[in-house]
Amino acid sequence: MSELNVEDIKKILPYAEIYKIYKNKFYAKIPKENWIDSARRLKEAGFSLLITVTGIDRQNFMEVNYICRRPEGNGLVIVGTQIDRRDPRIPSLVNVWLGAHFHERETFDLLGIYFEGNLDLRRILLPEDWVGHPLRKDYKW
Amino acid sequence: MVNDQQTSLESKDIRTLTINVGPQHPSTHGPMDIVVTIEGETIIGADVKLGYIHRGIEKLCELRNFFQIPVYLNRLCYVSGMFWEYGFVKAVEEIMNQKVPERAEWLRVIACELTRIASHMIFFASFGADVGNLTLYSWGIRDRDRIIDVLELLSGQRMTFGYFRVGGVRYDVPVGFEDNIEKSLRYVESHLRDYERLTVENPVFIARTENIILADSSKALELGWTGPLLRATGLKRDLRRDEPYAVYDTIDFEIPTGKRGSVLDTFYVRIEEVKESIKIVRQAIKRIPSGPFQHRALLYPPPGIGYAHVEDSRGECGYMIVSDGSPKPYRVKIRSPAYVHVMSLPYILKGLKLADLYAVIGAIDPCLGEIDR
Amino acid sequence: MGINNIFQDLRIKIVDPKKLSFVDKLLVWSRRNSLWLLVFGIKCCAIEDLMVPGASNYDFERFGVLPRNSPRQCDLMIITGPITHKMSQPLRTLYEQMAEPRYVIATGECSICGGPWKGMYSVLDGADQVIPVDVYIPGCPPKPESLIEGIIKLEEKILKGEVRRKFLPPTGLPQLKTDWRC
Repeated sequence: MSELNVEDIKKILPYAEIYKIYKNKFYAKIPKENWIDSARRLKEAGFSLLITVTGIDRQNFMEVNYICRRPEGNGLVIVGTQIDRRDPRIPSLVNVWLGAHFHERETFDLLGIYFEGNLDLRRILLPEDWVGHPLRKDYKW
Repeated sequence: MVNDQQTSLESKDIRTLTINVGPQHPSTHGPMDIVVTIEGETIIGADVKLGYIHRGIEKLCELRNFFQIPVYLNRLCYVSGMFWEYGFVKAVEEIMNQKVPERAEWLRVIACELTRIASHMIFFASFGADVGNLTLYSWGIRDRDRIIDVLELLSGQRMTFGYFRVGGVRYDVPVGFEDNIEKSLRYVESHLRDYERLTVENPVFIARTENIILADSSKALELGWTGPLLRATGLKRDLRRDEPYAVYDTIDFEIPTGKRGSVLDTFYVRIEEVKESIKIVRQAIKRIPSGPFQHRALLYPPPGIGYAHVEDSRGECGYMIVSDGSPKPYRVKIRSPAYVHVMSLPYILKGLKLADLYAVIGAIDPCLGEIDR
Repeated sequence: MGINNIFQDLRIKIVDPKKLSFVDKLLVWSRRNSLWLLVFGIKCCAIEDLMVPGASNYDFERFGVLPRNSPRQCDLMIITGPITHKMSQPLRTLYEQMAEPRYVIATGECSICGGPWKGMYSVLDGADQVIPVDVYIPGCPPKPESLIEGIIKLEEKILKGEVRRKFLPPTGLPQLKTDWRC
């Protein structure tokens, strides 16, 4: 299979800024409103295996990412969007990928991002009465 | 009070029962808690509780520099530590565009494939203990010890290797290594036929595992499964072939697949994988070039984001690393295959019998170190 | 992290080796030679110190160490990994469910002092903050030979007739009956 390039991803996600990070691996920065839409489009375009949903605490904003790949190889996209750090909310991807559920639970546990629409958003790795979200940069223990 | 009891007796709830499997249970392969609700013998619901050994490795990575981190990461999955070092090292190399000498690539392949054999041997052993086949347990450990001896020669450690480093590997092979490997491989290979006779050709074992279907291929993809479990459902997906790294594109090996995604199929896939790994190691020993085994690398990568994947013995081990140009990573996200498999237990357990739960847990081969991180 | 201060660490003699009757000698001898082990794998050391010695290469059944699955049947617990805040309560419960006299071996750096994870937000500084530990086996992970050495050390301790206990202080939680003797 030939290598993918930025234009191929641009066709799938017209509203995104695309960067090539390595061979066949791309980073796509999208506006917050297109979060669900981008996932649907990527899934239809063959990127049907969800690797993970995660987040990065950028200190003045919160970045949410999901990574998906083509199961037959040859292509991986990291999609990222910015959300408000004090009230981090983003629609859940559960309706697109069933498997997004437990990645979102973990991200909620460690970073405190609320995924609206995920009905079972509980802590998973830390005890249920734990205070704070340890992967935030200002977490003190 | 009495009235309450009477109404609950009459209601439907009384026929269901909730059982905690864990945190201490011989079949959970570590401290993991599965709360199953059963009606009669049939499981009607399950909830997985994790985090009993959550150590905060992702936070720890933000506090250590790039050369200290691989030492922690092989403690993520203690039966296949090499892969987890490799994933991180590969992600860092991708960010800084570091070249790796060819000899190091081959050494990495040897180390990884030997670890895959050792990891699958642990799978045979623990699965045997789960379904009451203790012969399999002692055979698995016996054969694994031979592989671990080779890995100890290579890296100096039995389980927590610390063998990979950015730009190559830490040590070259010792004198007489090829003979040692060949001897161990022959030892393991001579027993593989016995495994087959004891498991995939054994009517008792087949009757126990054949009709426990984990998932079909579309459900497996929807849940995000990778590795031997996905291959057991019949899909021919292997990152070593689909998205080749190191020198896997020049190596000749098969990708074994199952048929229906049953527990028996996962077993069959793993036995075949051990054979393929032996084949790969043999080729690697024959074709390994001479030359340097490590390049000098920068102390830390430039700012950037990188994702690297390695076909672990359980699935896709992935690292997303965000670097801000300082000696420490800004964020490290570890993608664990076994986390996905274990968390999808509630979706696959419905309708199975309680006694099948242990076969299912054994088949997905959880490794709690990588699940809890 | 707080928990350390709750318990008082005590060392108690349950038998005096100098004044032993024949029955006591028999009791101590049989205690030493039938250490039944709780199958309780936490992390790395569970492979090296529970599974591998249990199989044919090292075979700790030579020393009377027999793996059992229920804590009610066990005398010996091998702690094989870091103890987190979430794990501390189940660990204490398991320990209390074991029959007296009970012994604990902590293998590996994680269970001795927290090891590589020392100071992380969710990890305690060693298992001995929650339950008393009789023998510590260093290593990351210790080889199966080290475990066998540790078991021999523990047998020597049993012959001396000593056990270690941690008590809740009388002012602490509601009155627990601390009748630990056999």
